[in-house]
Amino acid sequence: MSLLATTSSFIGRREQGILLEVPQRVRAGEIVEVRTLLFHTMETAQEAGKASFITQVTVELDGKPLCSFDCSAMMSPNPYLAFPVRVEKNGMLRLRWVDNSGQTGSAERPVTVQ
Amino acid sequence: MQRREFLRLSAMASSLAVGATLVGTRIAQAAQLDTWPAAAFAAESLEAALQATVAKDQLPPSPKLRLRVPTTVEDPLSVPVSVAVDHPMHSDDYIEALYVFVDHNPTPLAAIFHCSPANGRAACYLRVKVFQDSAVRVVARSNRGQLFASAPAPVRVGLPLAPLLKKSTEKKP
Repeated sequence: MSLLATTSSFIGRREQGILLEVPQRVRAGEIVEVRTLLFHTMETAQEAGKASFITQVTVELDGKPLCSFDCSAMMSPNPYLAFPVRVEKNGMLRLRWVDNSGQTGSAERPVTVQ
Repeated sequence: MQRREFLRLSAMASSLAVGATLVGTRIAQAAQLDTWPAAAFAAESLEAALQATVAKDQLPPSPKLRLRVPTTVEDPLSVPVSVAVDHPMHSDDYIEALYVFVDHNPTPLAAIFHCSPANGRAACYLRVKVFQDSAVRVVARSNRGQLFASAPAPVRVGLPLAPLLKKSTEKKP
């Protein structure tokens, strides 16, 4: 996992408060790093009067659950997350977040195998 | 889902054991998600957070967990945490969850990453807030119940967030 991953490396569009990047040239069986930047203040009740933070980020590959993050306000604002995915075949990666007030956002990217 | 049932049962069991604190109730109401482990995220000490998540007070460090955290940070609101586990991810033996703790935060449990064999590797990158000089540690749990803990990685913050917390509480009516 790259410690120095920066937002300037994102080529995806911002949609519904998410930047999501899936590497383009992938070979079957390869483990790739999927990076995402979510736009959210992630504040505790002490910081903002009312706690507002993303509680769950779920990732699905072709409709099947892949991984998920249970988050809290102890995570940084505008959470930058990265996780590995073993790519076997073409598919659609879908990421969805929910926050404690019920707001949601989602984004999807195709995964293409050479 | 088996995993969600386990999380729900463990959250229920831990909230029965710990008792519903005010902070816990407020956090549970705020979360509005029954699969979100509110009791674990409300625990205000590292031991309580460890008990609520992996039912252990402390764990010996394991070389299987590779944790990368900067030793000094200028922005305590954004501390990058990179973790990887040297463990197979076969369908019958894989890492199921990674628990990220920041020892001296108001609530030490920062995040939980649930993974599956489809990830290929039990690893993730996220950013946490470190309110004061503290240590970051990660515990990995496999689907067979094995636990692996990292050695605590100390973090020094240039500007502790604790003074900001005090200012906010004074503003409350």
